[in-house]
Amino acid sequence: MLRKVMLGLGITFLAVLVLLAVFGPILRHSPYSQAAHPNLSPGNGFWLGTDELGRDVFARLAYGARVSLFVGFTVQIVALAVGILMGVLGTFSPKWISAAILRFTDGMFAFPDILLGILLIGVFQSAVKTGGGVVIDTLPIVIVLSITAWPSYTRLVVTQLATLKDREFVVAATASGASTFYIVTRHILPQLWGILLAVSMVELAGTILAESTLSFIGIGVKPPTPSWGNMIDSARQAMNSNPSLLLWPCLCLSLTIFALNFVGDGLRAAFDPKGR
Amino acid sequence: MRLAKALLLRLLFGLFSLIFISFVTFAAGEFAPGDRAIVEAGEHARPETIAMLRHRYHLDEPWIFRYGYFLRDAVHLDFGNSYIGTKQPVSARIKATAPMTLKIACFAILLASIVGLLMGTIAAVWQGKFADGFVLSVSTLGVTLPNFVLIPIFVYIFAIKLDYLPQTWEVQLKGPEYLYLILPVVALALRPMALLTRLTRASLVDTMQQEFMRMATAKGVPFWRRILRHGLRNAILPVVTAIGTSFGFLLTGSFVAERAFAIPGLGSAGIEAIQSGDTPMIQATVLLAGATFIVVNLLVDLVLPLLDPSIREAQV
Repeated sequence: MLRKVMLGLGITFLAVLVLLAVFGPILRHSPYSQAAHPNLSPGNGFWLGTDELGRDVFARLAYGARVSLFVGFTVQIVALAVGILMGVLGTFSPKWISAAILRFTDGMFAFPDILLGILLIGVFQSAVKTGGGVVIDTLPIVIVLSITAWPSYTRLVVTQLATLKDREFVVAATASGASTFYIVTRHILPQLWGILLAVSMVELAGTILAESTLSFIGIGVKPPTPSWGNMIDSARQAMNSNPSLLLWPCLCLSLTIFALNFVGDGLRAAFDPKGR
Repeated sequence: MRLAKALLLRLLFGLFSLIFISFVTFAAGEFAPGDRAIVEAGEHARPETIAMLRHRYHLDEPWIFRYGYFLRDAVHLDFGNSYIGTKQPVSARIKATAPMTLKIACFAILLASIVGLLMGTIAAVWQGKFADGFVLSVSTLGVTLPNFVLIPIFVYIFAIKLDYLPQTWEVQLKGPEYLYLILPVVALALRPMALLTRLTRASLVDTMQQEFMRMATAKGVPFWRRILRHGLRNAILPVVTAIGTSFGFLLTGSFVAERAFAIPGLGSAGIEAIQSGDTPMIQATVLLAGATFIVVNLLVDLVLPLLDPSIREAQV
């Protein structure tokens, strides 16, 4: 029961967040330009006040939501596609291909946390340009986080396929002459969508967190493009004069991560046949 | 015999992981924009100088040889010269910064292990009671909230409002060093602490339902002796493994903590290197952090059979 309430609350919060990300930045003021005096308190024509440079906090927060959601969803879609493909190839292709894929996946797990992301961003960042909308500004981080995100899907798909591929319905389909491709796409993968969707919510939280972490330490989304991570960083540096700037980005990020975890939990319970 | 085989396999996997991360780190450097020889000699150097440098850095040889040289130098902690500033050897910078990072990480993992085991045991003993609920909800917060959200909150409370602790590191410390380390260590320890708490609780709750625990109750073993000697002794194995894995997360977490507190450690040096595009320093930072993670986890897995006779006998 509690799980269902949390699932509902999580979905509602995420829906509001999507609206905020789409319409927020165009609603009132620009998230980039100085619109008024710095450090205005909420009200005064600015819903959440202005930051240490006189920019609209609400607009920046909404743009941060846009950055986080765009990065999160793009990375997860790429990672799902690559992860599933690698998982299927790692199970059904000839031994020498599948062994190489599985060892490579194992190797990717040898990098702790965001270390691989740090390496790739560090070495290749001088080759990228920034300053042109959400897609261009986040392109490097989307590429890097996609590269680090797919192996966990491959691992999940491989373990799931290991139990599914010897089940009766697969044997029956093989016996009736279905090709491996047909069996995988029509019989096996449809069994996995539920669990993949549930896991992707938790993974999405991880990606959003990784983006904010990289932006916080100054190597992810760079100012003046707002992201929750670099907003927390600049609010932290202005903490002695205006600590209230910390509140909104910290709150948004934490609630988003909580909401995604609740939704992931709720979906997993809903899709798990044992739970019904 | 089977144990020896399992340990050998584990060792081989550790070796494979080390080779993998060293190769990826090397490859990133190979594909990095900018020619190392030109960077070192300057834009307007004579062709002979550049040719000489290309030869010195083996840029005129196939990449597989270069990877060999890279490995050989990395084993000797030689990562070449920095691209930036006075072009000092990277190893000097690492020797100056790594001890600080290691100190903070070790304190943090120590704190996380002690508090995690304690809280997890308390929660498991009073399972379903108030203490359990409290520990569980706090540890859920600790697992979910990122440390860069918690750090500013801590700084605001303990350094600005209460003024007990210094806000950031300073070139001239105005007090004993440990005062400056408290907030970073605690901030770094919270996430592993919460993970270890939950794991200890789950593992101990599982263990307490087993036959031998009822047996111990039946033959009259005192309560705490039962929990500590019979329960925790058996429940601790997955926790020890998790201590190893969280050590790796501490190494990347120290990027965040060191930046937030301006601590002169490997994390700060790494961030500086990334911002200035100093490829050798970035490679060194990543390789050291990754190798430490792999070696610590390898050691943990090799030590586990010593802790648990049942692994020694029934290893897959």
